[in-house]
Amino acid sequence: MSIKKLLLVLALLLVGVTVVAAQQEVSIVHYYSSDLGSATMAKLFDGFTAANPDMKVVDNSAGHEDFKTQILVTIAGNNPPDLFSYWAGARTQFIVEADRLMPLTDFWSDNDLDSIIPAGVKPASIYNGDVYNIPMNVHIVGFFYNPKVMAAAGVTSMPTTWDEFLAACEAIKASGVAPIALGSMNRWPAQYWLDYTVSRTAGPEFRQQLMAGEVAYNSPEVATALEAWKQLVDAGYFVADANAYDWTDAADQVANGEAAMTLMGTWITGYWDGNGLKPIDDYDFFPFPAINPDVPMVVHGSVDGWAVPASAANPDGAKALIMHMLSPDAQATWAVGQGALAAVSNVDPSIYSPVMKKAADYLGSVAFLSGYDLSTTPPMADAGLNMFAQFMNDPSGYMAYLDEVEVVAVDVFKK
Amino acid sequence: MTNTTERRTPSYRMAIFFYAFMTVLVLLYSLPSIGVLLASLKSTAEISEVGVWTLPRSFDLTNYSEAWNGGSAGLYIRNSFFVTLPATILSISLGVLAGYTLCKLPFRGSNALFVFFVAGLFFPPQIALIPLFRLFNDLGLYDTLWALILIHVAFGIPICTLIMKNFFSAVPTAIREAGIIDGANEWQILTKLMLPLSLPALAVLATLQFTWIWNDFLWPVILIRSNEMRTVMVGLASMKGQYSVAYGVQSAMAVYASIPTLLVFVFFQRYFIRGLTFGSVKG
Repeated sequence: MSIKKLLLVLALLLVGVTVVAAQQEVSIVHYYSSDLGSATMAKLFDGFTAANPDMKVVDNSAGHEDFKTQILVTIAGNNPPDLFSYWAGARTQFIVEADRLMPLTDFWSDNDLDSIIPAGVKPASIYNGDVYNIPMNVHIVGFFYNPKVMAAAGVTSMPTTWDEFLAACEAIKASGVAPIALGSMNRWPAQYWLDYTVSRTAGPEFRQQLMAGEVAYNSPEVATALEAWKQLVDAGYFVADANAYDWTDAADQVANGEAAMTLMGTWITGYWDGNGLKPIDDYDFFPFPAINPDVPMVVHGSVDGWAVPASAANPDGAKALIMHMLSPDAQATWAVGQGALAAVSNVDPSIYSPVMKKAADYLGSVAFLSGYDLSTTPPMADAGLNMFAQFMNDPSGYMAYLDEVEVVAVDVFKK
Repeated sequence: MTNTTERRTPSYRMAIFFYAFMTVLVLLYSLPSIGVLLASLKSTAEISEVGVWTLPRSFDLTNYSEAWNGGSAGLYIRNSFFVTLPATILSISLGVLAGYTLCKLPFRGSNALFVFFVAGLFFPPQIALIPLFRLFNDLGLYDTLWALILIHVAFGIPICTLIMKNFFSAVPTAIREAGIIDGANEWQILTKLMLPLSLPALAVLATLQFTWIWNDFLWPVILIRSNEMRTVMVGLASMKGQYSVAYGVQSAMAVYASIPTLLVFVFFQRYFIRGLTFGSVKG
């Protein structure tokens, strides 16, 4: 082969390489691995590549429990994806502390995300003063109830105060149905009871201090909160043996009319809709009632967001993909597919079922705080979750449990 | 003599008690599998309404077709085979060579070397997660099945060496000497004399290694990122969403995933128990 021909071949190869290289890859790892979750995600990626023909999304998903280990190893091992789904709260904080995430503060202000992401949700994005987690969807926790059981017990308007709540429970119990279902087999479903009893009695500020280890678990404020919870257990308002059931069992108990309500996240609507239940007719929603009228109301729940690793190969592609996923259309597709609330306020509200609409309105009206296991460090959360299970087993020793948990807290927060 | 008479006419009552007890045990042990089988034939709505422990209303294989088509069970099972078969064969081959050498051809320091091999058994794989991740990343093997094969060969060598060495030590050295007199070389002695005698040990190892590697979850979670490279155990776990359940489809997938190990066990079963005791008591 002559030199000329060789050069020609090399030139052609080079052109070929640049053509291929012109199509950028954006690699993403997320925990939406179920059939529906991965299919809906794929729809959003198709929309993104249609709008950006020079980009290609490398889509990978992992079951959410496996994801927790996998993502930490890939980040520590220096081969992270360009972006990944992550829970806002203590988990994001952990990677921020390790200096492995890219700050997205400029990205936030350049795209004026303040105008579309509700102010109540924004704090979930900020760590050590910078933005590190861009919300994708929000789930909030409240009471989901069976309207037929409520009506049969004569409860027509949903309680907004603690006294009304107790009266409703008493009426439901008198009608021969357990007022409250709880499936705390996997511990976390019980945590929302602590979240709400603390933030409704001592207030959201105290609750955040408790999560950060700045106040003690065996302080009188937490004891008061557990008193309120214990009052319900002692009165026999909970279905017996909560620790023997999973949250789906509790959902089934409400759906089948064996219990009236359960304190759960909006994801329960996805489960019920899948089982053929109809919103409003078969299930409905009301927020956790006020206990101490003097403290500001908050809503607990979880934010699923996106984080960009500090060593991402294609951060611009990652940011472009995030912006695509925050567009009203993508958000609507995602919220409907996930049974979640959109993270942005400019989606068409008609996408929501009437029950989800109530949840969305409530989220828009109060400040948002993540749930217990996403708000405090994982070792602390582990001790706390054990305590809730212990509490549901026998609430009488709650003061001793709090003392034990405080021992862990002192160690975890190096007080 | 009274003893033998008693043994010849076993107590009828004892036999009834024995079989009743065994039947209860069999039922108890198979309950989880029965639960999975029942769940695999029901929709999530039916499970939420009546629970797992009832007969399905209709014989409905939807979950199975969904696990195969939507859940790509076929792809995952193929990947699992691509990892399990070579890793099983390689780790056993290396274990045979190491075990034979350490047992029949001892040399200075071979006992220390044996301890070194076996020490691998006391080594928790979790502590090597990040170093191995980085290693495979640098070798360009991250997100390939090769990484899994290498890992399982390496982690399989200790147990294979241990069992093969112990097994070979139960085979009389006279057999090897007879072979040498007849002019056989070491390779012929190993393959023509020793291996045919070690079928029970090989069957045990094949069953154990196959099951362990097939059921492994940790390494594929860590070393595999893309959906196309997933093994069946990871695929099974990823069918469940954060807040969604897929009891029926997951059960169907679990049934698919358990068929290969079940077949391996049935195939090697008659050697299994014999080989297990061989390996464990001779030292």
